[in-house]
Amino acid sequence: MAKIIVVTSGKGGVGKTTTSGSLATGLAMAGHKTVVIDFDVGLRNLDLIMGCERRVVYDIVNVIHGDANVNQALIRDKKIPNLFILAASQTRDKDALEKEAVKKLLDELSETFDYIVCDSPAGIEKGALMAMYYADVAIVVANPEVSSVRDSDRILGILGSKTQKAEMGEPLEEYLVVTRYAKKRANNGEMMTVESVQELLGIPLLGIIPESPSVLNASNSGEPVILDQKSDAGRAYQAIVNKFLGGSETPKKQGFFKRLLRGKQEVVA
Amino acid sequence: MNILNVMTYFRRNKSAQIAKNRLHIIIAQEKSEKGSPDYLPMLRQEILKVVAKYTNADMGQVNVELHCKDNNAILELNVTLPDSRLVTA
Repeated sequence: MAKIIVVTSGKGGVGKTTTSGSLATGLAMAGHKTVVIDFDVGLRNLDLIMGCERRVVYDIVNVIHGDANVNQALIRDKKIPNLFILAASQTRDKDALEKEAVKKLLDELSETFDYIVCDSPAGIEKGALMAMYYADVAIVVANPEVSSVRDSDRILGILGSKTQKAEMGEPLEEYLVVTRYAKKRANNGEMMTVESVQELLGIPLLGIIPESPSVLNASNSGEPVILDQKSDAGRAYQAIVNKFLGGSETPKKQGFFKRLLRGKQEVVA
Repeated sequence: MNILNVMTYFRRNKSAQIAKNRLHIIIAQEKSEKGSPDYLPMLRQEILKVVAKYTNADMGQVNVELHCKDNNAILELNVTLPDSRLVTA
């Protein structure tokens, strides 16, 4: 059974897709078979962040409508073994997603994957509701800024009422990721501190991503920023993955390359 | 001059605290309004109008809240009236 993680925020542009891409990449690098799904039907972007935009043939709506099977639509990551991407449709709208069809898709993926990361669209419309409905874990991404925090609080309310777990009275794991954090400005009192944001939202903190030029560099070149281990943001995402996996396991650079090599050998063999 | 500089320094750097306070209030308000009837904002608006018609109370000092407990809903109206002696004086 796969663990289903939704990355959500309410507000747009706070770093949901960046976080989804790096989290999924990190989980796959740690040896877990992971698929990351773009639920932003009509405005897909995960493919660009993952650098696979020219390899999209079928998308989530094709799979849901039965035009293609899941395996045809899954895009295998070029660098990381165990990592797969399912793109959103660019031509449909969000109403193309239905609860039953999404359940069928997630059930099928659950059989072969360890983690399913759902990249939610912004807003609280159908696309966002579908992305979160079957989640076991919710990662709420927020910037230390008033509109983002308010929207995150709203999303937490929706997570607590409109997910399958909520409807069944089961607890949903919720974690906070604060992105675009400028420690200096927070120390000066110009920006809310992580502690303030966490106190306002009242969920455990999974990690802090500093405001960093490496995020734009990474998206420019279509590589999840977690692969840039020289950058502060890349290391911060690695720390989030480690914490999520419940260990204080420090990232081993060698391990990553070894795994890369191992993956290639498997392909050759 | 020096004191003024220090003052503006502190004032400039207080915005994070302002953000936090504003969010505290709005998030608490939105939580309390969750599941409350749609007419509440309009009801609040009209009650404020009536209060303003008869008194010169500061509208910022008027609080309208709906509390739900068990099967009872309590509409609480809290108006701080200005001291009449001060007004006439």
